[in-house]
Amino acid sequence: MIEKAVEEIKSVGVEISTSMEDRIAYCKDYNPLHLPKLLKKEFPALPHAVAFPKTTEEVSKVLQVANAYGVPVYVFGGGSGVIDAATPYEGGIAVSTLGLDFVEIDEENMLVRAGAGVVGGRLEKILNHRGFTLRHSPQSLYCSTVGGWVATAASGQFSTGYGNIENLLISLTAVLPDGEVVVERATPRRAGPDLKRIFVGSEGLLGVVTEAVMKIFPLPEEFLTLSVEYEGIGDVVRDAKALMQLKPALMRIFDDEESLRYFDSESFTLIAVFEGKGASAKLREAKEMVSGKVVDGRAEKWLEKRFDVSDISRIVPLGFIFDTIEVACFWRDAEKVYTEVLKAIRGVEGTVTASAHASHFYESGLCFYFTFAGLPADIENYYEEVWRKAVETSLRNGGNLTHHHGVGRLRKRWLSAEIGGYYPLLRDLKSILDRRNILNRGVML
Amino acid sequence: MINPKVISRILANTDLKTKMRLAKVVPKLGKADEVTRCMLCPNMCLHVCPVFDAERRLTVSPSVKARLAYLGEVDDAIYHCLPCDACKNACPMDISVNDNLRAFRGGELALKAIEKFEKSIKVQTEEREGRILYFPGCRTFESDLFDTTVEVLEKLGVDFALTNVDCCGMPYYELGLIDKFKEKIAKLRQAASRYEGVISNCPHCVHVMRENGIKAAHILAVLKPVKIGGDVSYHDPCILARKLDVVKEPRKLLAEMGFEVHEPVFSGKDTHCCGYGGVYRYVAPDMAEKVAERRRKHFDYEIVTACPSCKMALKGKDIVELMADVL
Repeated sequence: MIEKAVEEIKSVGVEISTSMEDRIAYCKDYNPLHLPKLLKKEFPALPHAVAFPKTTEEVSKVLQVANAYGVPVYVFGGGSGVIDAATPYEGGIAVSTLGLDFVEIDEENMLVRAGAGVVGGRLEKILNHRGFTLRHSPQSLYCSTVGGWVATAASGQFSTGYGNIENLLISLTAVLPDGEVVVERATPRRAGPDLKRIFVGSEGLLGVVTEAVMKIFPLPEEFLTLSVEYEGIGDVVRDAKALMQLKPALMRIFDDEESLRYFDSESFTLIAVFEGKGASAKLREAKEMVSGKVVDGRAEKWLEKRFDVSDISRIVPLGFIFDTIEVACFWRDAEKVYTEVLKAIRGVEGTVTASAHASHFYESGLCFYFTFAGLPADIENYYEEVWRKAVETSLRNGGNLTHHHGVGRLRKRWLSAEIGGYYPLLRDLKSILDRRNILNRGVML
Repeated sequence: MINPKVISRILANTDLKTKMRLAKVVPKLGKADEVTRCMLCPNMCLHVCPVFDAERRLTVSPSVKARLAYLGEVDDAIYHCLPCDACKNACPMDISVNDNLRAFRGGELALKAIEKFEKSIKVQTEEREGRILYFPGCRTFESDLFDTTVEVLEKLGVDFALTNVDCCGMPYYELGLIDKFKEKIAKLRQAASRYEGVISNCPHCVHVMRENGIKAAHILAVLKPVKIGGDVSYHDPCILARKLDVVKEPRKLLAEMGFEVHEPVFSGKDTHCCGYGGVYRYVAPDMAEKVAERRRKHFDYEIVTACPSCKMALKGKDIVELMADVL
């Protein structure tokens, strides 16, 4: 069946490869459990073929053929997702969206239209050269794609001031599992329910995002930072809530353990960035508002290191497993979620370090981002236990399942607890749009 | 170096069995080889890799090429690389993907590529005596820059020699054909030993010479400004900017020549390869052309550069040619 599908995709003029090199390139996403396997020269999975469509129409052709043959399809952007959503466990066809790589800037309306395969870091560089910014800045900026951002409901380091990807999105083009293309007119606001939102965070379950129109912003002339230190989590969370009135572009809280790693200080740290018009006045007011001690240079230190993930490469070869768990909660639950989830992770035998920062803030609450590294006897059992304990503790204490990394296969067992009555609705939607269940099988549902 | 306070926290919070495992592995911290470390990275230099940008396949992305090398899949993708070090420039571990992949090359594809290179080379050899050796490099001939350079050097009064050596050996080196490379560079070293130093138009040649103990400088070092004026965009050749650290000099020279220099997106040390660097042209000519085509779109003014490969790829002018127009 798969061989026939591959031949047919070739015959309709879409590039598709069955070379071992291409198959290895698309054998996994960036879920940490794949790394020890690679070190042992094992493949987490292997697609039978990799398709490289260059246009929305070509994506449609691939899906039409795959749908006709019932061949599983896994959608790949940069492969930087960490929740095991893109890994092609049933073989089939990995569809790379990287060939969709156009960028059109509309300076007058402050928009950018970009193909799903455009890599974030490059897009930002091109925009900056013209005096604009997307201000969508996930830590994966340099290796993630526009399509991936939409599919995973991504969030960036400046989300506090500029919003998450769903807030930046003006319009979307997507291809449904049967090959039908859905396009909407770009407009500042639209009539009827905003159905493009079903693709935001859908993780390739309902369709393949092929292009997006997003808002862009002028590069701010002023960029001012604030760094404050605290004795404990309670005071820093209270100040963060108060500072939201000043609409910081970026705000983060680092706990004592992360402060030690970043700033060689055992206090808790809050950093904030105020930018654009009125930034100086906001910074002055912020300094007066905070109850902690204003210190120098911590924001700059973090900004310099914010895309450095090289510790992973240093410790994984030694047998460590390293991951992050991000959850959102309301202000009232913040201290409890922080304390209890950390305690749960630290309680698992094998844990070497566990720490947290808060990285995304809203009027109503925040996102805690827990980081752990373990050196267990059995990596898979340890990883499973940390995740189970952390997520269940979060849910029990008012936290949620995920803030921005997504559900994938890693978190799907808890999804119905989070979205309740919307879970059967999602299942129905999947069965209506993808009758043969070809797209990203095993993800989320 | 791990912060001692971090270590004491780890020791305080870790169970005994884990502490014992830690004691075994800590001495190995940071000792994994570069290919392994690169493979474990999520591709944090993907946004600057010109080969990936043109080919649009993860297969030729930096960390996946390291993965393929690690796994022993070394037939094709590991050759799809430029010596531009855009990856290294972006890497907190300072890893050059191309440097690491070289050891895995030397196979069938290398032999085919070197054959193409050798067939394409048309070096005009002539000899003259002088104080310093002018070594044009093969690409200076290919880009029709040799006669112009000789004319400019003569008009500027540079006392230069020419000798009958045709190749610095870079293509052999890049393709992992190390014995042949050693032969080429030894010949050049011997020729160069008779002079005070060597100058070349080609940043590749200068870099290879310096790395192999030959005192060499880019030709920019002997050029003097002549007044021209106008608007140009300067393209930083990747080897010149990143490996030879020559970024300010061409801009200063162009400014002294009366030019308004406009920066393209990706400039200075963050420059973008033109596609004609290294041997990518002999491995994947269509893709090398695509890199060049994409790079050309980054410029709003006439492209000026200081490298014969970049001049060809970008259909621009070398600074030497600008001078020749008015000297």
